[in-house]
Amino acid sequence: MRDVVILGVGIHKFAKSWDKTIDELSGEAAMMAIKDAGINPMDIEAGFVGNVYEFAPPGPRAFGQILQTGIPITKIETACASSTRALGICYQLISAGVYDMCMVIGVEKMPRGPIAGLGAGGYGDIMGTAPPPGAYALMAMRHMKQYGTKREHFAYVSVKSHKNATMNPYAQYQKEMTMEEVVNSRVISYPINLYECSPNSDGAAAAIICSKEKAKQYSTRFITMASYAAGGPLWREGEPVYIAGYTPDMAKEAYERAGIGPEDVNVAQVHDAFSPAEIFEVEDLGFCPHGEGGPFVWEGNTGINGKIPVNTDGGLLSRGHPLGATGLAMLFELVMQLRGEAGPRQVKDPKVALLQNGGVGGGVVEIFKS
Amino acid sequence: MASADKKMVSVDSFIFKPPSSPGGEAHFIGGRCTKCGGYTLPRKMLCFRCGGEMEVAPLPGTKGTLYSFTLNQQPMPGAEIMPPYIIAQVLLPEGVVVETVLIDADFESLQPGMAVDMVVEKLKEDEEGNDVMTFKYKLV
Repeated sequence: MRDVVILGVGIHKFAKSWDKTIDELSGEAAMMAIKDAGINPMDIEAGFVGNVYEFAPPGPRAFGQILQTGIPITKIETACASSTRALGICYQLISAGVYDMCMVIGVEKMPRGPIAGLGAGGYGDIMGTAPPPGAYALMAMRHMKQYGTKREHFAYVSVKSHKNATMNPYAQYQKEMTMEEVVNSRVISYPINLYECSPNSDGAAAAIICSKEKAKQYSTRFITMASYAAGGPLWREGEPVYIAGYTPDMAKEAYERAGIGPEDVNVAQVHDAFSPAEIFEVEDLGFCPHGEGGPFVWEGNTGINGKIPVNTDGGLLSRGHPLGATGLAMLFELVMQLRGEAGPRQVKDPKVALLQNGGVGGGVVEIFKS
Repeated sequence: MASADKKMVSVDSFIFKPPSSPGGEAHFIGGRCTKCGGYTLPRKMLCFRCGGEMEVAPLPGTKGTLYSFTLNQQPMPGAEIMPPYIIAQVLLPEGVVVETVLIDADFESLQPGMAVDMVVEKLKEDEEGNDVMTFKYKLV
């Protein structure tokens, strides 16, 4: 197995970009990644696109601004984790020696308004029992009843996220939010309020992934991708289905493959589609024991200067959540952090970073080292 | 349509069988594994526990317990039920969880594990004038 590295990353600011096509969003992120990597784009051997909503072929469109060398371009769709699943597949292909260099572009223009229910056209959609925030609210209520987690613990995730996003020029929201504003915003599905839901965003992000040997032809300024674990729907007796896979299992696999434990992680990106998620994820990833995520977050352990900084760029809640682009935006932030290029939101000297991207199409856990 | 021609149809015939006449029995359409005897809801082709083939099995759905619940305030596009309403996950004795609406309950007083029972209700009329029947739950 060969070492795999991230040689370059790029991003298009997440926002409601009414006037831009996916071609323009992708093109800007892709150009930034190619320049960042310093590569000859003719060396790219395969392209992958993470995207959910586009019917007209998003693969050729996303790459259409940068190259037409006849390489295979493939769309990978796993809902919110599409582009990090694509990244993981590149990792496997490069690691196995199939390719030396691949490029991934994540891009999305989101439909306006609340995204569709999760009822797959059945009674859940007809009765309204399957709204995405409702799915998180059901988990949050169980967490509250089981562990005594407080409603304010969830709200604090959003307060912290908005503060971090003010330091990220690529974030959709760059405005601080007080605890009062969050808890007094409109209730969506108790205990989740409006300002605890990730916004609909448009955006793109891109990455150049290489074998370490290939990368050395260009630069020594690369980030090592140390491991990749992926999961999908998991059924357990007497419990609802884990649609995105079971994060503790994915984390265990990712840690083992990387030869580290949760105590070695210096900065993390987790899938906070709704505010309770950060609390679930810090537990599932082993940053604190199960049931203690609420107080752990509330006490500031996941702040930029905390024990394990989480979502330093504002997370899905404030950076924005264009489904197909979200995962690579997480990667973008971790690469900036590991390189020490994150500016005012820089974590002190991180060496190991973890990415957890979830959703209704499956999840991933990926670990990176400087 | 004459009322005599009016039928009761299911909100989702893949998972729920409404009563064939007023006051009759309703049930879920689940699956039972021919190898290990475990259940799924709705029915699957193969068993998630052991990979055995599943056969159709009615699940009464009458004895359940609350697994989790939320008070939903956001209208869902295309949904027939308007907020506020309580979305509940109900754990059935067969070890499967079903998402439903909990009626006639004080949200603040709910606790996981509370006993609940199925209530069959008319959700709407379809284009042919039939009653579209659905399942909700109430506290016992």
